[in-house]
Amino acid sequence: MSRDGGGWSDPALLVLASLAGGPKHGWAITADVEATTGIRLGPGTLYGVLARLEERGLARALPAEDRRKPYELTAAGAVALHAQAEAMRSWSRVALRRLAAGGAA
Amino acid sequence: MRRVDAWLLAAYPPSFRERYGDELAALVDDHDMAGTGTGSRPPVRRDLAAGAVRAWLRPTFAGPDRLRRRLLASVSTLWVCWVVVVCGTAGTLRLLEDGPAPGLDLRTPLWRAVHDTVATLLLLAGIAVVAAGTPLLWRVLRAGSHARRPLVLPAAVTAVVLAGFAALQSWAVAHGTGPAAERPPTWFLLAGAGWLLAAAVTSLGWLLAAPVALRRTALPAPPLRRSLRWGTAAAVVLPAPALLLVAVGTATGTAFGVAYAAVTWTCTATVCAAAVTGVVTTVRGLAAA
Repeated sequence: MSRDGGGWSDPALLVLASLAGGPKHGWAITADVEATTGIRLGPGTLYGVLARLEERGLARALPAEDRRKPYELTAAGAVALHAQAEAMRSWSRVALRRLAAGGAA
Repeated sequence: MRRVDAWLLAAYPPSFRERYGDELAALVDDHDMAGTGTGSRPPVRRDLAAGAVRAWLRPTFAGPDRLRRRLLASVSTLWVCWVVVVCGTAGTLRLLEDGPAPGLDLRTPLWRAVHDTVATLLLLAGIAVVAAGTPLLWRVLRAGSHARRPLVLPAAVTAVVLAGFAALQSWAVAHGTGPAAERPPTWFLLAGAGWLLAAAVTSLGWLLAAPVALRRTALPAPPLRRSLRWGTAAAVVLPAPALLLVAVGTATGTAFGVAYAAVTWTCTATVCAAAVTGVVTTVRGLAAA
C-alpha cells in the first residue's frame, strides 16, 4: 500500500484516526498514536503527513496556540477514514474466516 | 533546540518552513521537554532529515496562500538549478579543456563550436534570469533589513572575487608572452586556486541566500508569476548545455582514465539532474499559476 493511501500502520491513517478523536496539535497526535498503537511518529514524518492531508483537504489547521497549531478532521477526511476503516474491517473478517477454516485460529 | 536540530529544520524547503517551520520546531522542543531526549536522539534526527528529503521531492502546498508558496518554491528551485547548471557546466568545460584530451583544444573546430554553443546558451539563460530576477531583487532591497541581510555577505564576497579576478587577469595580460606565462610563479598558482575556491563559495552563498531573502520578503503571487514566466526561458535553455556535455563526455570522457571520467561524469550528471529539476519545477509552477 502507498505511504499515504492506507494500511493499518500507514502514518496518514494513524493521524486521521487520531484526529477523529478531536482536534490535536503535533505533540498530542504523537502521544495519542503512540498510546493507541505503540508507533512513535517522528516529527518529520508527522508534519509530512499533516502537510499532505491538509493539501488533500482531509485535515485543516485551526488558529494557533502559541507556536502550535491544532489540526482537525474535515468532512472529507472523515469520509476517507470511514472508507478505509470499513475496507480494513472487511479484509480482517476475510482473514479471520480463512484462518478459522484452516484451523489455524 | 540543539544546533543540529536547527540545521536539520533549515534543510527543509523554504515554502515548507514558512508554513510548518514554527510548528515543527515546537514539536522537536516538545520531544525534548517530554524527558525522552528524543530531540537529540539519532532516530529523530534521521526522521527530520528524511522528512526534509521527502519535502523537497514531493512538495506540498495547502492553505489560503498555496499559490503564492507554490510559485515561490518554483522560483527558488529554478534559481538553485540555474546556479548549479552554470557552475557545473563551466567547471566541466574547464575540466575537459585542461584534461589530457588532445582533441579538446579550443583550436579544434568541433570543440570550438561546442564550447561557443554552450557559452551562448548559458548567456541566454543568464539574460532570462536577470530579466526574471531584477524585479524580485528590487522588491527584496525595498523590503527591509531582515530580508536584505542574507544578501550582504555574498555581495561582499562577490566584490572581493571580482577584484581578485581583475588582479590575476592584469598580471596574466602583463606577462602573457614572457617566460612567466610558461612557468607561472607559485604565488600566482596559489592565488588562482584561492580565487577558484572563493568563487565556488560565492556561488554557494548566492545559491542559498537568494531563496532565503525571497522567503523573508513575503512576496505576493503576481510578481512571482511574472518572474516565473521569464524564468521559463532559462528553464528551456538549461537542458541544452547538459545534453551537449553528455555528448562530449560520451565521446571523450572515458578515453582518458577512470578517475578523469568519474570527475567529468559526476559534473555532467549533476548538471543534467539540475536541468531536469529546473524544467519540472517550472512546469509545475506554471501549471499552478
